[in-house]
Amino acid sequence: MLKHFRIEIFTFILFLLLGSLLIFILPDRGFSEQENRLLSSLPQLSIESVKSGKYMREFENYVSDQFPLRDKLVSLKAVSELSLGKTENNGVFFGTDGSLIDSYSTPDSAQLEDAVRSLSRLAENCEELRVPLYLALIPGAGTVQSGRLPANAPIGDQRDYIDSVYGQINPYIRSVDITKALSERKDDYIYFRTDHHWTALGAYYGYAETLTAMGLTPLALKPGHVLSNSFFGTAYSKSGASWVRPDTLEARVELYSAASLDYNSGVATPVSIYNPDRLSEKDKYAYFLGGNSPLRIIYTGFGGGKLLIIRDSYSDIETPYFLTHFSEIHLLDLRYYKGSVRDYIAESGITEVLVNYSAANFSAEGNLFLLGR
Amino acid sequence: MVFSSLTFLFIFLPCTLAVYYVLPRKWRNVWLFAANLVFYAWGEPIYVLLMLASITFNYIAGILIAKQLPVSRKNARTILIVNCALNLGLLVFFKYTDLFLGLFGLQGFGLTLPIGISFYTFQTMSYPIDLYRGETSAQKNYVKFGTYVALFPQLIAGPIVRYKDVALQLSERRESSAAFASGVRRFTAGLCKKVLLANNIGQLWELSRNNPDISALGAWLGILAFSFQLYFDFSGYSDMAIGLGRMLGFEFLENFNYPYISKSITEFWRRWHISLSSWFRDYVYIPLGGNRKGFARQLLNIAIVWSLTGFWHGASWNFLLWGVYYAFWLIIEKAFLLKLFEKLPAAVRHIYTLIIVVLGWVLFAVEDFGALTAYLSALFGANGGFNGNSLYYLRNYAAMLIICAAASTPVVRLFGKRLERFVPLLTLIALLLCTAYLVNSTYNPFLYFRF
Repeated sequence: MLKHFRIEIFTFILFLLLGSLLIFILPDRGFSEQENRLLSSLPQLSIESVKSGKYMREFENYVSDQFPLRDKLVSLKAVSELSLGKTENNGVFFGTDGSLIDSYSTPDSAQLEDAVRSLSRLAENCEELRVPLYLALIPGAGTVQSGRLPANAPIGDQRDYIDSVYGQINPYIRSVDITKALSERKDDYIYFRTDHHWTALGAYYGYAETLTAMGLTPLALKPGHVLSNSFFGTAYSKSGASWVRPDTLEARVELYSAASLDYNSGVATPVSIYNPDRLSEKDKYAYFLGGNSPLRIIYTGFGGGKLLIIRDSYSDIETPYFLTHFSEIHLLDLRYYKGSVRDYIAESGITEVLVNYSAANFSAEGNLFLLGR
Repeated sequence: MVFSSLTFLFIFLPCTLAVYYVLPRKWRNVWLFAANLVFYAWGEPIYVLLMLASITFNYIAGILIAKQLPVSRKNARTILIVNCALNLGLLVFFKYTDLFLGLFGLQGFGLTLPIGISFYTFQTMSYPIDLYRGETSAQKNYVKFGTYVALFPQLIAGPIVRYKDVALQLSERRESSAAFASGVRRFTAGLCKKVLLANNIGQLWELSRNNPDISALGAWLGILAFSFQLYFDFSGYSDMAIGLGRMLGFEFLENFNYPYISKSITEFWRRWHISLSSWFRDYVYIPLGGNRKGFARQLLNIAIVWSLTGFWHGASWNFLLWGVYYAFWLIIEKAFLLKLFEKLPAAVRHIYTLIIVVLGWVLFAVEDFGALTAYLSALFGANGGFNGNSLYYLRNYAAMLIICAAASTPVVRLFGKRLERFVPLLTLIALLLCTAYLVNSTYNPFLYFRF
């Protein structure tokens, strides 16, 4: 009996000690690819920080951020939830066919009013400048491929949200019905299964619809050229659903080389619009345009007008299709670009403006008022 | 600090235990006292001073009462009354001031409630009272007394340990591997109750409580979820306290005894939060006369005690209402229902009890009266019987609800003997799962980087 007790005590103590020793012995990780953020480091001890409780809070963050096998433990929790019959984890639904679908809640009416007001100001500015303005709101997989969701999943319908915006905006704005274009192909591989973005195929249909709205003729769809067969996106990271298979990242367009200037921190730097080195990292989607920047200008080498895209990341995989139709494409990110959009349009000689946003980001965006500046 | 955190499990607990067992016996109380203060100060750096003050004046009151008792019982009584007034004064000041000011339409101070104050005030008050009653003797050693008041296992969520129950253990406790092993088992079980059951099923309640058009099915699922969440959270905390106590050589009294298998409300209160109801019994109900002053007086005493019990749970009127609700049922049972029950089958009595208790949790959980009425009407079908939403949550939480229901009964004990061999393995699996859930709760991917 005594031996039995000792085994029990030994197991317990060993587990706790192993955990605590590994937290401190293992070298601290600076950046988590899985979570895509900087992890906390050991805080400095000072009387001030102890008195305010800041030290304790930071210490707790440190322990949990540097906890050994953090990512593995998150997957273990996801497996446990799945075996308990749960159909979601950490705000991601487990869909059919191994698809992981982000949850979405419809914003309140105040957000809708704000969005409509900001768009109307932009429309007035564009009308004055005689530049056509297009609005393309892109629905997510939870709306277009709702058949893949678990039965009765509590998720807001982005179609309703998009319809409300389109129904209330200034009539100068020409809205592009991306929802219809995607819904007609809802059984195709138009969204990644492990990521919230659309695939190159989905983006093609979005592009074709947008271009048609602009009165131009879209290029024909090209066969896919596989860039990577092992893409695991953000829905995968968030849900910990380690049992799903990876996505295929493709390009569906001839990869024209084009000069591109990036205005990160206000300085123009030549950068490539395709980034093959990203294919060996976790964030493979960044192959297209390589991540965020306040402003980027692509000199396509083709003829045509100058397109301004007020973007979110859904534009990254879509932009390559636009290259042959415009001489310049300006990509502006409202999160980082704090100047006047109106002045930018006037000073850069923009001929078309496209507000190109996923409905999920558009309805959660806090900087929409910047549109009207 | 809370037990269900990575910092407690992997830093505080191993450090405290390691030093505790390395030190010679006479230094262990000093170490424990220091560890208690760190534990408390971790979340409340300023209020640790309040606790030290409380320890100090109760310690002094104890010595004074012991000195006066043989000389003048009247003086001892005066000291006791002043001391109790001080203790209750602190509790009332920090806990109820804003509520009372609100009654007169005045702005409150917005003070944060010192964590665990309701528990440790009741705990310390037992000491001078028992001393005055001659049921224990004065503690001359400040460290030992401080160790008792601030003992981290039961500091912030009970059980309410009375001084006389641990007086001897403060001076001469014998740690043993049998006790330690049983402490490990008890602690792990409590951790699982809190992290795997309460936190998990609690999400269902969170989803239900603010849903304005919740169906009857959804509302019942929600309040069942809350019933389980509260029980497993609270009793899990008590289990962890008892387990940690054993690891340090203490033995605390039981606090929960499968309350949801009760067959009457009277029985429920003998099984739920035992240390609180027995505190009120010994220090309020019996001094008021208990059942010795006639039936009418007994009913009044029940009403007083249960109103106070309800109000102890929080500075909000719904807790008072919840207490009065129980006083009502207890009085009914005392008056005639229990006699009637003798003829009824056990299943009927059990169902009656569960319905009363679960409906009681609505009063407990919903603080706002408007929301309370809305939730109660939803329970009885104001928004329809069921909808897609409630079916989804039923599907997602059915397994969890069944596990919780089973874990509320002594059913695991049936397998006890056969599982004995696997306890170390089960402990390991349980700890691993709890760690996974704790890590996940701080797992915070920054996913909108690509906007």
